[in-house]
Amino acid sequence: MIDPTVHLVGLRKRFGGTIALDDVDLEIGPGVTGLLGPNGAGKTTLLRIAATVLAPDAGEVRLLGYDPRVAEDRLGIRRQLGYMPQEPGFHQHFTAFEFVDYVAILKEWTERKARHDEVRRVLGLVGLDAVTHKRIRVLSGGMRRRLAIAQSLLGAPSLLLLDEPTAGLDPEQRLRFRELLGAQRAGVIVLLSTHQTDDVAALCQRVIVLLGGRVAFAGTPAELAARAKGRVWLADSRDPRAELAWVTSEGRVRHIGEPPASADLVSPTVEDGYLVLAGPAATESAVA
Amino acid sequence: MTTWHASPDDLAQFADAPHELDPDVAASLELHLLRCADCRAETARVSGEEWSRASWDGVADRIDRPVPSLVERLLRHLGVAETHARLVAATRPLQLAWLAALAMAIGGTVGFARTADTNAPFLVAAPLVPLVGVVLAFGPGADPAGDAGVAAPLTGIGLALRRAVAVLVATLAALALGALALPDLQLKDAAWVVPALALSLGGLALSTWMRAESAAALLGAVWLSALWLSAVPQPKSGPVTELAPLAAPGQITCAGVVVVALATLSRRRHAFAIVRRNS
Repeated sequence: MIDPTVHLVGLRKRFGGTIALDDVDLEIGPGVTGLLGPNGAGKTTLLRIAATVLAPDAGEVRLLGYDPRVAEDRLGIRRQLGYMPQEPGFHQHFTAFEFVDYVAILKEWTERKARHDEVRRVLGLVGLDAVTHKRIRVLSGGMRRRLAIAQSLLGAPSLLLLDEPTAGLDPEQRLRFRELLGAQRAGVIVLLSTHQTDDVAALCQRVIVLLGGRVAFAGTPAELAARAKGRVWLADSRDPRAELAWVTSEGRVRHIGEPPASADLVSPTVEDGYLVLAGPAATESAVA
Repeated sequence: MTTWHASPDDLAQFADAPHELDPDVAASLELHLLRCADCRAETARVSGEEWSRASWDGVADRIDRPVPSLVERLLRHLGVAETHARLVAATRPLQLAWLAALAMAIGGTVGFARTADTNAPFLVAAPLVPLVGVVLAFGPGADPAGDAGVAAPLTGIGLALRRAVAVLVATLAALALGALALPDLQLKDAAWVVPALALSLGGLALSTWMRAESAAALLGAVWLSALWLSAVPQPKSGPVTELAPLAAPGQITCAGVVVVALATLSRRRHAFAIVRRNS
């Protein structure tokens, strides 16, 4: 019986003088888990290790009950894995169909008819049915992102790893992506890294915040939002004492920290909780 | 607008076994069906939903089927399975653009050799060509699917070796054709073959420890340095085939490198299952 979890214990990874992951312990179960963190926090490294693409320098990894250091186990993982890297290596001469077909062959879909049916299915899921025969070089950034998502869905994987899947998608496409993830069968482990805290709020049952290669938070989105409880205010002007402050679309100033003069206390969002946790390092990516 | 309709029996036979119909009747029915929605609906009814779906699936599959590249077609003619041919042909050194560049480079070297009336440039450069091909096959961006391809079940030493063999065969064949145009061709002008195998397999083996392009740069430097160092002590210039790397000692050493490289590849095959660059 397959162990439907991802276990990471004491994970360390270093690139030259840079520590990407430092003593990371995580247990991730079925459902959608969001991975938040500023640039360089270690999200992509964590996903690459979970995708069996990269080996950690130290620590233990068990994916779906398998040990990726063992060749047979690694094959077992890869047969149940869907992985969308942050930078998919598209060859420009491929059409959208040819690219997904190529990945399907790598995923051992040897019977042509079944493979082509599967390719059409996943391209349809991401709304690319109308451009299947267009060369990748003429597709927009959003379409390429959806193409990368499509290849990760081949074979309905049990472990789905998505590295910034919504980057470059327009609002309608992001909504469609949320529906797509929501329709995943029960028992599937989805781990997605993102800078979009509203994606986490809308999609994820659990959220992990990585800061400087360490796990700074692991819990539900509501628990993350609660980190900012009693610390988020709306005021008419900027207060220099605020830890973080920005002008909202309504023209008021949202403060995090001590209450400014004549301010209204408001309910915190996941973004507020994340900003409280990450501090100014997070503002670059999280506050638009 | 049509004024007549085909009989249900003819439509049923057209759907089930069109080749059994009189060719003129079949052609007439086909033309008629293009214009008559009622008869198309009747055909779908008498033939059943499954037949209709299977027909459309067949059409869609024919339209979607990727057009095989020249190299893929060649591999399939040689008996390689469709899926393996696709995987091997997708690697960059087997793309038409690289093969064209390879042909031009070899042509240029042979042309230079003919102009200078010496085979030395060809014999010095030829072993480096398959090495460059191997680097392009395993260096960054070599696989069309990038990390997603690495994380797939069908990657690893098997695919790496299949691609290496294909790249080697293509480059060695191109070099052999080029060599035929060398001036005053003799058997000793085949001295580049064993070093070429040694450098490319050695590069592949070294790439299990370091980046493929670093391995190629290192081995390329070793090859050129060895030729230069063996040329320096000679009082007067003789044929390049008399230099140690291309003469018997070099051939024996290179054959040894081939054996060691193959053994290393076998022992370190796990290195092909993950990304070997730290980025």
